[in-house]
Amino acid sequence: MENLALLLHGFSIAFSLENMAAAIFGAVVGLIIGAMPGLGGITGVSLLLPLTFGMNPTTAIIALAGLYYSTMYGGAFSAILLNIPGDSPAVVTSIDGFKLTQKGLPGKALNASTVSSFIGGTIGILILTVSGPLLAKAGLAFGAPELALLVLFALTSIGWLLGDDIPAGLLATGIGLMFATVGVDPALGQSRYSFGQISLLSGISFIPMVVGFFGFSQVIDMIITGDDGAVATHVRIRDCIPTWSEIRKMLPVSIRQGIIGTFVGVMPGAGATTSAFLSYVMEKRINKDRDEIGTGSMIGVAAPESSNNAAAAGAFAPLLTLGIPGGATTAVLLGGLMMWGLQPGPLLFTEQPDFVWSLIASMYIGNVICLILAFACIPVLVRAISVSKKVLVPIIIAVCVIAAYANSYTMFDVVLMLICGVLGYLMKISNVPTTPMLLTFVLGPMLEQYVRQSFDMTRGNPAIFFRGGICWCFIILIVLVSVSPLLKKAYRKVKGA
Amino acid sequence: MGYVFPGLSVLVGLYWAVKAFGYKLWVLNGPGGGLFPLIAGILAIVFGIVLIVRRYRTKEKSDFSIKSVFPVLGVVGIIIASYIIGLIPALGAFIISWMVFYEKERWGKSLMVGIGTAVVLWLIFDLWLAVPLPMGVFGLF
Repeated sequence: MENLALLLHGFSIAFSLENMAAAIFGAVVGLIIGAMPGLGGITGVSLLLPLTFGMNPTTAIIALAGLYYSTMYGGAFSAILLNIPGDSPAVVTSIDGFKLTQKGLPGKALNASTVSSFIGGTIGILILTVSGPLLAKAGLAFGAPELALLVLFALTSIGWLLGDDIPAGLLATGIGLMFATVGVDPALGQSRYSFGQISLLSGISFIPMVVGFFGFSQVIDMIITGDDGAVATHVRIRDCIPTWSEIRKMLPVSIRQGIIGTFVGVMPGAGATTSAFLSYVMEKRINKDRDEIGTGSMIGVAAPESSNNAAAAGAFAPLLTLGIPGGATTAVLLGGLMMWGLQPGPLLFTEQPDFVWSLIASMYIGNVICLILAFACIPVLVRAISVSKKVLVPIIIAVCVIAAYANSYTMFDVVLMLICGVLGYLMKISNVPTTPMLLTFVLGPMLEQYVRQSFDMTRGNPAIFFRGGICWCFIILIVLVSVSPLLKKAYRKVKGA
Repeated sequence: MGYVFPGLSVLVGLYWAVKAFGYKLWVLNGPGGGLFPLIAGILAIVFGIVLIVRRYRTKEKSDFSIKSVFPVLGVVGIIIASYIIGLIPALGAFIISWMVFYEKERWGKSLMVGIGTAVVLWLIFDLWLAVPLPMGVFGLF
């Protein structure tokens, strides 16, 4: 009840003209930046931070927070319409989202993404309101061995993404892991496979890579097959509205992944991209319509979108209550808090209640603003892609180039995008799936780092992976996931006999 | 062409696996920098070979066309031109050239789309986001 009273007080502050204007401004800018390929939340927050110097801290954080989670909404737009993810969490959305566009259902995909983003975001903020400090403490219970087992659990789920062609999927997994091992290694800090390139010391950049694998390879495919690809012609607005049965399918998925996404967002180092991948593999495994996922299903859009928005909200729990940023974007936000003279930590909630609760209240308002803005954009976006392929193809190529360049302002990233685009096309004609590769690329470095840290903590004693209940939970899950296909096979055999 | 990707995977996987030993597999009581690359290399070699053998046995054919080279050449052209005339004009020039010479569209329409896209990209990336774009030798954009 105390939290509710404080939240209402927060609303009274957030509803001031100045703060509402800041929330709307942040949401609009975030939506645009998120939709632009190559520019994610961190770029947006970094760009807006200097503009907030003159504002009071509450107004400034409201603008920045609005921008941060609206990039999650915007990131899905270009992923669904052009197969070019706006930011890294939207990579998963593009798997089913773009297939829906190819089927002539871009509006449905955008609606699914917007609604599930709203549900996920709202769940994340609700959980943050009720149990923010508690959640942050729970997140801290995840040390290196627990996180290593969590990532391993996600990787063992790859089997569900491979489809029928297991060797091709495992080849993609190997390629993803190869890409992931480029750069400085976590053990001795030595450079690996960088070929003397300074740009490769920090590893292969994610944005040019996905722009190449998804966007540019798609353009090559469109030219060769004569497939209109992203060009959805004669799409009626009424075709964009989801049916009741589609809503019934999406709703439990959005709620489930909203809850899980919030917890993943709380964990240090996990973040929105990891939560989006986890949600996708989980639905691929447990959803009764799992066979549809990967072929252009609204569930495949709803799960990652709900999860990544919830993770964005969840990331505020450790940031505000412990002063620990969950990822790069929240680290920039932390810098902003310190710049305004605020010390995040357990005392922030008691010493600066106006600041904390008006921020949380503004997140509810910002989420509604994002929903309205995104809905308003959908008819325009659907019409925007209803143009001839002859016009769209060179524009997509130009966008791919500038998106790759904008990642780190070097032509090296454009070359990287080009190489990945060609590789993506070669994978396509060889029937090798790209999703397991991307999953391994995202999770591989995390696994390597956490395994190394775990061994460092005990000077090489593997017993650390068996400490506590969380570890055992994950071990049991890993074993179950690994042996369940064999058990299923045996069960079918017994049933058949 | 269906052999190219698995073949390339085997070769690169081999390089990865061999080089991994140089980064040490186990060091200071924990996995060294070479352990994960070795696993990656082995996966690429083994399953690359599996795919090559399967393709050879089933005589699977892949859809490849020389047309796939055009967008690649286009991007190479943009990279080179960006050092001379700047990135934004290079992108505009690419769109115009593609529409006129490849798609056989009218000059008027092509100029409108090319210049329009270049202006929008300039407004967003240069003017608003202040991305330091290559200006070329003339330093125009």
